[in-house]
Amino acid sequence: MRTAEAGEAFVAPAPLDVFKCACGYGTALPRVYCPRCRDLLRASTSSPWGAVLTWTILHVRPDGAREPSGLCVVGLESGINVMAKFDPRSKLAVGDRVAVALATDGVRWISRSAP
Amino acid sequence: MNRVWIEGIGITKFGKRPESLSELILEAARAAIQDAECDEFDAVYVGAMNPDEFLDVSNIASVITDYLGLVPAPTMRVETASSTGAALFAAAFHAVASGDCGRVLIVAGEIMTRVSTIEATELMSQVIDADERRHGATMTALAALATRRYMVEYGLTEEELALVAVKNHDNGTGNPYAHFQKSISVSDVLSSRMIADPLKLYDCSPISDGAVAVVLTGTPGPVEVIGIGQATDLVAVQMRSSLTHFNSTRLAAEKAFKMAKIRPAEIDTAEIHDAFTSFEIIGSEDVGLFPPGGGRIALIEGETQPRGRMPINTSGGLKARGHPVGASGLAQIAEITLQMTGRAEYRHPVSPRYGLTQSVGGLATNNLVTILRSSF
Repeated sequence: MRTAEAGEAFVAPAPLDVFKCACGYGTALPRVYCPRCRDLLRASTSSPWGAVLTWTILHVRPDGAREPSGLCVVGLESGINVMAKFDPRSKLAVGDRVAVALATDGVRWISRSAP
Repeated sequence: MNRVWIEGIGITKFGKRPESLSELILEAARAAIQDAECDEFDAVYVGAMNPDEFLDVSNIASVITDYLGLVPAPTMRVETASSTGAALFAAAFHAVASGDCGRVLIVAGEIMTRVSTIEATELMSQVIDADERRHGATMTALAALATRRYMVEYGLTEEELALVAVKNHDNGTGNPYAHFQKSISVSDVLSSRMIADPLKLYDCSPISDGAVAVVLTGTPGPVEVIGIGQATDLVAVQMRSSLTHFNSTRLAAEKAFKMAKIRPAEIDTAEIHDAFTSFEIIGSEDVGLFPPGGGRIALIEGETQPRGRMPINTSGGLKARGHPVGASGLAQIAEITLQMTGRAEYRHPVSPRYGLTQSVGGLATNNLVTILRSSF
C-alpha cells in the first residue's frame, strides 16, 4: 500500500479510461490511430487488475529527489499494458497480481496486491 | 542506386574536452580530409543531438560549414536522438547513391559536459514519451524495465550482464580515442552505484564529449557501404508488444541485409549500441546474429570476445569509448572502417570483410543498421 503524496487525493481502483481498437489493441495513452491496424481508436474502459510484467526502482531521479521511486509495467486483464508508479518499500515481483489506480494528478499508481 | 564508398575518417578522443563543438568537429574533419586526401565536397551533413540546449547554439549546420571553411556547400543537420550519427550517415549515403553528390563530408559531434550530470540526464529524458516521463521514467529506468524482463524470460543474471561491461572495457584499453582505457572486473561492476535496479553505474555508458567525421564518395575506395536500414517504434514503451526486443532494430536489420544481399552469419564483427549493457545482448539478437536468448549464451560462452566466433564491440563500444550522443552512430562506422583498413590500435582488433553497426535512437524509437564491406 502506498500513502498519498501531499496535495494528492488517493483514488481506489476503478475501471481505467483507455482507448481501444476494433482489432483488439488497446492503450491508456491518448492516441488517434491504432498502431497495429491504423484504424481509429475509441474511448473505452478496462479492468484495473493485472499482473506485474517488469519493474525497477530508481535510485537516481530526474527531479533530484533523494528517496528511491518505483516504476513498473502491468499487463492488465484486458490485454493492455500500462506503466505505473509504486512505493519501493512494498516489494514487487514479476507476476504479482495488482490493481492500478489513477491519482487526481493523472499519475497511475499500484494500489494494492490481491490477497 | 549508385554504389557508395567511405574514402576517409577522423575521430577525436572522447571524454571531457575543453574545446567548443566547432573546434572538436574541425579536429575530426581535418583528420578525415587528410585521410581522404581531398577537400572538395558537394554537401556537408552535420549531426548533433541537442546543441540547442547543451550549448545554447542553434543553426548548427550553417555554423559548422562556415567554421570548416566549406561555405558555400549546401548543408543540413540531421537529428534522430541518440542514433543521429547513423541517420546522418544514411542521409548522406542517399545523396551520393542518388548520383546528386559525388563526395560529401559527414560530421557529427556532441559536447555534453558543460551541464551537470543531473541536467544532462534531464535533457536526455526529453526523448521519452510524455506520459512515461510524468511517471518518473528516465532512459536508465526504461532500460532497466527491459533488462528485468529479459532476465525473467531468459535467465540472465546481474553477474552475466556485468560481463558486457568487463569485455568492452578490456577491448577499449589501447583504443586511443576511448573515453575509458582501463580494465574493470565483474565485482567493480556489481559494487558500483545502483542507478535504476538492476542497472548500476557501470552498466551505463558515460556522458562524453566527442566528434567524428567521414568522407563518402561515389568513387571506389577501401570500404563500401553495402546496406542501410532504418525503422521506428512506438515512443511509449508500454504501448509496445515486446518489452525485451526492439522492433525498430529488427526491421532496420532486415532492410539492411536485404540491400546488402548477405546473411547475418556472414558478418565478421558488429558494433552494437551498448548505451546500457543489456542493450548489447538485446541488440545482438535483434539484428539477427543470435536467436532470442542466444545473445546471453554467446556472451557467457565467450563468443562475443574479440577472439570469439562473433566479436562485438571490439572498439570498446559506447561503454568504454564513450557516448557523445549525436556522434556515436558515426563513431561505430568509423571504428569498423579502421579495422577494415588495418589501422585500429585496440588491444584486439579484428580484420573483418563484413562489418555491421546498430544504432539506437531514444529508447529504440528510431534505429539504424549499417553494413560495410572491405574492398581488400
